[in-house]
Amino acid sequence: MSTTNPLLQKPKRRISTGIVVVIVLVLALAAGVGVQYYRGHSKVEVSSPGQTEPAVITGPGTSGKGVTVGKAGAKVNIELYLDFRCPHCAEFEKDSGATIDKLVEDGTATLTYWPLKFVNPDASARLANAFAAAAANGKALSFADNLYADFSKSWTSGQLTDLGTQLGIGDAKYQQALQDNTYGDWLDSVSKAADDRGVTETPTVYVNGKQLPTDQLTADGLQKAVDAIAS
Amino acid sequence: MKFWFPWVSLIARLVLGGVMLVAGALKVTDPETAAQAVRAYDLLPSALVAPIGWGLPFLEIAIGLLLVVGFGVRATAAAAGVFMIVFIAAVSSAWARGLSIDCGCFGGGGQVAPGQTKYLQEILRDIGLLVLAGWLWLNPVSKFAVVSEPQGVTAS
Repeated sequence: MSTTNPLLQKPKRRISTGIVVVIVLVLALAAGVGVQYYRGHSKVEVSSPGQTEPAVITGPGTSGKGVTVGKAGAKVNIELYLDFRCPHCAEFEKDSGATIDKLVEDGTATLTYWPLKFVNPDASARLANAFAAAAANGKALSFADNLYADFSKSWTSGQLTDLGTQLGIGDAKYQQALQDNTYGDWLDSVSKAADDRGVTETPTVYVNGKQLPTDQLTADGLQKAVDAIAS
Repeated sequence: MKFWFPWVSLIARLVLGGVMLVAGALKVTDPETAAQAVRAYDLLPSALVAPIGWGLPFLEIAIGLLLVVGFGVRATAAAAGVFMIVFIAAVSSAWARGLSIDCGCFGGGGQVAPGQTKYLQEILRDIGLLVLAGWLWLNPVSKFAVVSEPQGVTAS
């Protein structure tokens, strides 16, 4: 290399670009922190107010049993193993949520939620407990829909409280359940039941006890599986 | 310095910067997925998983932008090189431990079916990008950069 070797050059006078680069990277991290703050403090807006809320047939708290909603006596039972911090579950909800809600609403199917808590050891458990608290107050479906509808939210305790209030279930009992992790034991029993059944990932869907193949985890696939039984 | 070095550096800047920009942009909108992708490597204590998953995309975007516009190329290339070394080490470690995960480099990530892993391609791609970063460290002077550096060296 000749004297133009850049390794031998020294920047003169002005601030070295290297320092500017470091500053830019620090600013980028600051932007990340800002976004993170926003995720934990952004306002809660109920995605579909006035949605028909299916009745809770089996509430949370029965060891080894999921939360079932819908009209008792429906011919079809859809079982959904979900995790509130599982990205694929959010995608599945986006794709098939409306289909499921409709099947439940028109009495074709009941829906059983099996909330698991393995994706994010901290947040999944917290959200699953909040879901159970909401289900105990009769708002299982819209609570779950709202958690997925704004999946990028952190869903801090404050945001969960807001959501509860907006759904009309934010009473002292709900608050207490959030604080005390009231449904922790029940969630353990749900996780154990899922293990025993061989459920290893979320979302996993069963239609009348038969597992929906992974490539059928779509609105169409689910509708077909339900139609095959209901018709 | 050969006359075509600045052109090679331009291409290296655009490829490395472009890849990092895209990789960051695809992940930045989905922090939970990014955190989950980091968690799947099973390398970090749980308290660090989420901040790294959330912060990494922002750094990738910043590095990508700096490279694409051509500012502080040497320092930025060094940062990109460090990232690539970390990525290669992480993917190799996942491979060596027999995990079945997607690298989550461009969003997604997490568990995949055994046999669906692409460790070799992921590592080769990152080695290629590391080579580009190394080239830019040695030859930071490039065409069409907002700041031609180091000072005193002209791209001729």
